[in-house]
Amino acid sequence: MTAETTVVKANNLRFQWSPKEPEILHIAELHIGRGEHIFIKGPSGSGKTTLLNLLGGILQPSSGQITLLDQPVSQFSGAKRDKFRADHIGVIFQMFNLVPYLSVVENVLLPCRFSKRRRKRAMHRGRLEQEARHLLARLGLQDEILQRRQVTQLSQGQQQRVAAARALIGRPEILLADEPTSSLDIDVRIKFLDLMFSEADAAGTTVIFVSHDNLLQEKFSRVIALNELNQAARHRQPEWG
Amino acid sequence: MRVPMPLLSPLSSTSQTLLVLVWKSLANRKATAGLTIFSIALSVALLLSVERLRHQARESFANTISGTDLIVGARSGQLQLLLYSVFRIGNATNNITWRSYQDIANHKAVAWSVPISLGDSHKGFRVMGTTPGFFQHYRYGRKQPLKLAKGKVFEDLFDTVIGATVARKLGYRIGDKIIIAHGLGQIGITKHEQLPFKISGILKPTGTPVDKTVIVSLRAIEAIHADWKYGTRLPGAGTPADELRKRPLTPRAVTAVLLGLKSKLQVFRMQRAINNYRAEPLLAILPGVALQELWDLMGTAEAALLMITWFVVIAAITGMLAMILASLNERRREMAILRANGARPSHIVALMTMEAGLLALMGAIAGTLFHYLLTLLAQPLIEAEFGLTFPLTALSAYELKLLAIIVLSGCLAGLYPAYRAYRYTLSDGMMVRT
Ligand SMILES: Nc1ncnc2c1ncn2[C@@H]1O[C@H](COP(=O)(O)OP(=O)(O)O)[C@@H](O)[C@H]1O
Ligand SMILES: [Mg+2]
Repeated sequence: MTAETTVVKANNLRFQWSPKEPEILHIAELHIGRGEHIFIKGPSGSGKTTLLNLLGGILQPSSGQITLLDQPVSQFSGAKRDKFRADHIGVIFQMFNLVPYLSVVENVLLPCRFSKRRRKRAMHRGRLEQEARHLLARLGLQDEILQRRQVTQLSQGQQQRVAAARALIGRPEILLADEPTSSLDIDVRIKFLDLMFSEADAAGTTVIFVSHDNLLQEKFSRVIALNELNQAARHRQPEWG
Repeated sequence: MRVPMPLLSPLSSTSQTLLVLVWKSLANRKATAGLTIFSIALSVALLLSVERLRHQARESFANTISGTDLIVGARSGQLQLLLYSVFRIGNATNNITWRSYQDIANHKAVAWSVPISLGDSHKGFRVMGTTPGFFQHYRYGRKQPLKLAKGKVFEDLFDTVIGATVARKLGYRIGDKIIIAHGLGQIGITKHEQLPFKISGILKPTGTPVDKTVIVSLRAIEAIHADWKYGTRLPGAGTPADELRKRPLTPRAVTAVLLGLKSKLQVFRMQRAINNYRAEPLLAILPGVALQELWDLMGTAEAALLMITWFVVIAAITGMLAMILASLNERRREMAILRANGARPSHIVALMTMEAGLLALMGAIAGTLFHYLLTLLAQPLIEAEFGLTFPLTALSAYELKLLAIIVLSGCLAGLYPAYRAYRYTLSDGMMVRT
């Protein structure tokens, strides 16, 4: 794996919430290549969300480096990290991803409001809204009426697909997904993943997906067990099982 | 359901984005946001109206009497003289003899003099005896003269001109006959019933105590007291009206005198001359100075009223703060979503501050409209009742400043929820635990 195809690099990454609390993460090395679909599995409380927050530049590691797209993001100032995230990272949460008072299309366009780069990249087809509708259609939400409906009236599966469209608009290099399928029915999960992957591939986006749901793992190009990667977990009893 | 607001154009700035987000978020909470705006609007309307009323009242008060250089009465206090001679409140302790009046009136510095005689009443309204010169020289407001709404100034001895309030309250018309009571009480007092007066004129409203005055000639005052001595009526039949009309009826005394001087420069010298008058102790006051002193006395009440109004404004802004704070917890996730999609903590702070500012601004605008509506509705009432004119004028620089202060304090109040939201975004990161 050459440097330019490595999207995520973490070296000697350590994190603890406060000096009094035990270390939650200690990752000696993590490399993720461009276009990979990474599945990071781990039980609840193992630090998956914390890891995504670190990779997204919301949390700062206690020590160690995070390099994203060859940029030393963990050494950036807060404002610079915010800009980097806005420009290069799409995010999907477990549930309730949407801003309730914005329409479906407005929700999808949200990253374009805060990042000029994503706005520009989303406009290659013409109007921004057109791109949003196009993405929604590709994710199976082509219904015009659906796109105009209040987001709170959408089903969970539909909401997650809107969230996926939002995470992918403006073709960010990295997609961080925090258990986005756990609120969905089993049969919908696979379909959601397929749609998400095909759009991510079309955008050239690397997918980093965390979940405790092992059923999905064969869909991914690489599976990482967080508790094996995380040296801090070895000194600690798992919360579950 | 949704309040229309155009989607942003692709190249709009972030602050515009934030404003749209604030707008839509508020539109999503129409009921609470609307009530908040309403309460701010009410307080703003109250503040503006009280301010205007205060201003108008002060203005009209200061102009209760204008164009009169000196008011002369028997020696008492400056305020007492002002109160009874202009406001018809209280009584004179002493009168000015006709001799003294003549001396003053004939002084070389005096351009005009109007004697007034008080002490009788009609159904609670004071009766004032004076000369026709009163209608000529009395000025109020910006040197406005008294105007007749109907009829004419008295010609016959038993004619009377009544103020607008007297006419309205008692439903009097030109030609009506009225009886004047001796003294100022209302019940169990003797009346000059054998000598009724005919209303010859009704004055237009002035907003001054003239509106509440029954004006008769000085001779008429003398006439109705012709059969009186030492405060009681002499026994036997009264002198008939026609008999009285033939008499000269020169008054023995008057209560006060309004003076106009030939030159304003002589005011102080004349005042000193009157105050040092030898034949009897007199007092001359400058109406403007005395009015100012009286207003200052009432200033505390005025300041208290204004303070209460400001408290209402503060209460409204506090209510807004409570509303925003209450919404904060349920919007924690919304912040995390915004943050995950590129919003910075500073954007979250701006969002909350703008929300508060926008609510205050809309409250201020709605409040201004309320105020104008209120003015429009209350205008005729206030004009009729208090004689205060209430023109629908544009906001003054001072009033705009008040509004700016309110909007600004709204923004400042928004800093607190903004800080709370900021703390949330830092601790929640971009993933809120459900
Ligand atoms: N804001 C926080 N402050 C302190 N501890 C936290 C905070 N958020 C999470 N934790 C702790 O960090 C650990 C990892 O949490 P998390 O990353 O959410 O796990 P996962 O996403 O795998 O369920 C848990 O023990 C959790 O209690
Ligand atoms: Mg988690």
